[in-house]
Amino acid sequence: MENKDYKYDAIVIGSGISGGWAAKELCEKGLKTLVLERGRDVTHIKDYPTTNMYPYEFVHRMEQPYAVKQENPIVSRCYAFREDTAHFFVKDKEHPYIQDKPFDWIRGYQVGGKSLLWARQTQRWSDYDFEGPARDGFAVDWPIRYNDIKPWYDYVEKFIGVSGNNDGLATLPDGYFQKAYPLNIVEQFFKDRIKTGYSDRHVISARCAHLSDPSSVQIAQGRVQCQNRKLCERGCPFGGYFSSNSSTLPVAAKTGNLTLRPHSVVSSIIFDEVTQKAKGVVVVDSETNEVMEFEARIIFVCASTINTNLLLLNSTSASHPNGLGNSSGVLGQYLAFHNYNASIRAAYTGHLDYRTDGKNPAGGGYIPRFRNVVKQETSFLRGYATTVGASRPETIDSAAMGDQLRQSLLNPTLGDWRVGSHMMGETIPKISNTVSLSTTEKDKWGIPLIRIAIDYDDNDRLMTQDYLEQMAEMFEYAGFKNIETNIRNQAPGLDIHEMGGVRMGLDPKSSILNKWNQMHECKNVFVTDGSCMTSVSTQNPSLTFMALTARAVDYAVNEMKKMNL
Amino acid sequence: MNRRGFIYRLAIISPLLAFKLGCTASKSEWELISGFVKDVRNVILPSGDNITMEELSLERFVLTMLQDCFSPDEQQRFFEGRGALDRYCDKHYKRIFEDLNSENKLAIISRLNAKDKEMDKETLFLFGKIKAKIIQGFQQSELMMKDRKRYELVPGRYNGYYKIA
Ligand SMILES: Cc1cc2nc3c(=O)[nH]c(=O)nc-3n(C[C@H](O)[C@H](O)[C@H](O)COP(=O)(O)OP(=O)(O)OC[C@H]3O[C@@H](n4cnc5c(N)ncnc54)[C@H](O)[C@@H]3O)c2cc1C
Repeated sequence: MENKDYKYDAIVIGSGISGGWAAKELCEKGLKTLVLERGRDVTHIKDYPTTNMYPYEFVHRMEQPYAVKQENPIVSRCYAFREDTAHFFVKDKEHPYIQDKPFDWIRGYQVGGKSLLWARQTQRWSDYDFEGPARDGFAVDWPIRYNDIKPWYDYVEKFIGVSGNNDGLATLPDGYFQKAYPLNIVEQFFKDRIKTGYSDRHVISARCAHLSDPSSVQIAQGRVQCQNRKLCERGCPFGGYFSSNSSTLPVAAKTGNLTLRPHSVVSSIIFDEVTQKAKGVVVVDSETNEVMEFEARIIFVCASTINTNLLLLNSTSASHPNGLGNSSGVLGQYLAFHNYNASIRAAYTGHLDYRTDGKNPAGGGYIPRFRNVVKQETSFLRGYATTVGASRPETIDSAAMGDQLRQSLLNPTLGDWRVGSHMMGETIPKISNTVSLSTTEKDKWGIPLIRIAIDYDDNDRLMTQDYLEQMAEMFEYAGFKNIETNIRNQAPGLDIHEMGGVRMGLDPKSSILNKWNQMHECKNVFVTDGSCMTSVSTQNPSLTFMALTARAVDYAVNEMKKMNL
Repeated sequence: MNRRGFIYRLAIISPLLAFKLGCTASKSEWELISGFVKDVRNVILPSGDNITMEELSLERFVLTMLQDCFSPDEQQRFFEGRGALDRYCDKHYKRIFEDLNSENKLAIISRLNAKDKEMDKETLFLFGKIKAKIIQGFQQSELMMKDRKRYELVPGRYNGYYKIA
């Protein structure tokens, strides 16, 4: 193996949402930082080939051909995998994994990771979430509470730009928001109805990482106001939504401290038995297959939940025979995800003198968790948040033909309002929800394939039923018609919110990371992507990953200054 | 050509039709469907209102979608539906579909559009998909989306309370 003696102050593994933040923070604090990214480079704007294309410019009008779906059954189940966005998704055969239980692992391997593809929903956690495991007796207690992370939520929101209202809800703390994308007339009607009928349920404008009113901070990043295109997954030429590519990585690069190395698959972290710290990482260049080592004083692991588990399990040494930092044996266990398994829709025949105009990038409304918030009150643990959206589709006389059909197409009419919602339920991290390394199969760079065994349980099924009952009741109360409930039967993973396996905790015997996302057993390694999550709550997770990352960098750099690292 | 489809077509037809099909044997299943798409488009969505449909290449779009975005099973149903159409025409008009005059083609397409129970269910299936794709192709044509501004690439606004005049 060649050792080129590449030395940095810090290494960041992965350039997605968490890695981008780690890079920016480390570089701004003056550290020479190497970002290792397994995928190709994607430069903001330059590498968004489809961003300005009209639907008719795509051969299949953005639909994926049958052959593509056949070749890629897993990623094809993701709503965002289309003809115009496919180049930012991992195709099934490119990077195989083993499903001990069905799991749709949706990935974006490129500079920017899934930050190019995400739906930009951003909500803070509250203490009802951080206190969940301790109160309800699952997983382990979070080593932090809301007050520990609050300043970092503030810090991240001010930088990325989040639109929303300060709604004054204990379940969903307020923050630093740009003006909210308002609810439309029917969403507002629903909000008002729910307010009269339910004291514990609140419909709010979805909070999302879009620039409704960019501040000087975002303008300085070269980003401008969101133009309501809703073509986000192609990459946004306006930088209207937050991605690593449009925001953190260019800011990191501007410091002069960033070295970004695409096509660099990190296969393991090297543990130095003398210093009892990590020395560096082993990288396989995915283009040349050259194996090399890079060294740094600190390492931030941000390869996304499952890849981070894989990497740590694959980082074995005399002191860490079962994976780096894994004396406790919990590495790769207690993973969890979000239960997105049910949706509901209905029609509304009121307010027919209104429609919407333009597009709402936030998507509509959001109802924070209202089940088991203050105390346990249902037969299942925890609860769910939900989306709510209303739209007024155009209709045509599809039974017509000839001149009549043409005229109908030229003069479509407006149908009733359509209202829809889907659940986002908290699942309980369990010892049986695991990822592990294959002992027989390897990828093309010699890294063991990951085996995934993650499943729903009875708690999830009871919660799903409750969501459907409660939502149907609320829709009925609002006067919506033709209510249709739907259990999606989707595999875990398709929520794209997999978390855990490298959890934070107070006790090194039952957790891998301390309250600073620092490995209990290898002090110069920090893990700040979704794998660090002790529990998953109901909120979309990425804002919390970003806040934890910025917080961990601050701690790490202070520790370096104190010569503790 | 699709050999299996051709044999299938020969297997269950009258001698006259067998002769006719013998003459069109050089046409593949897709060529026959392509011809049918043209006729359907002509009848279902004719030019008018200052729009020359031929300029929109809808037939090409429909065929591309039928060929690329449906499963082999669905495509087999297309072929069977197309075959059944010729048998229907043979029975009622003593001609295969493409040899019918435009009046008779109109009558058949109208029956398909009305989901006439007398029509073969696979022909109805094929017709339904063709019609849906003609509509999609028209709605998502450059003419409608860009020239007639039905689609905005950069809306730059959102109003959730847009009062209809
Ligand atoms: C369609 C879609 C919608 C979503 N909607 C939302 C939403 O509304 N709100 C929300 O909060 N979240 C959402 N998510 C999830 C969100 O994208 C992820 O939570 C987030 O991107 C995770 O950040 P990350 O940095 O951990 O991982 P990623 O963004 O995936 O980045 C990880 C990076 O690490 C690289 N990498 C992996 N392994 C290695 C290795 N061994 N060596 C080097 N590099 C490696 C990868 O190539 C990748 O670039 C959505 C995701 C998708 C796909």
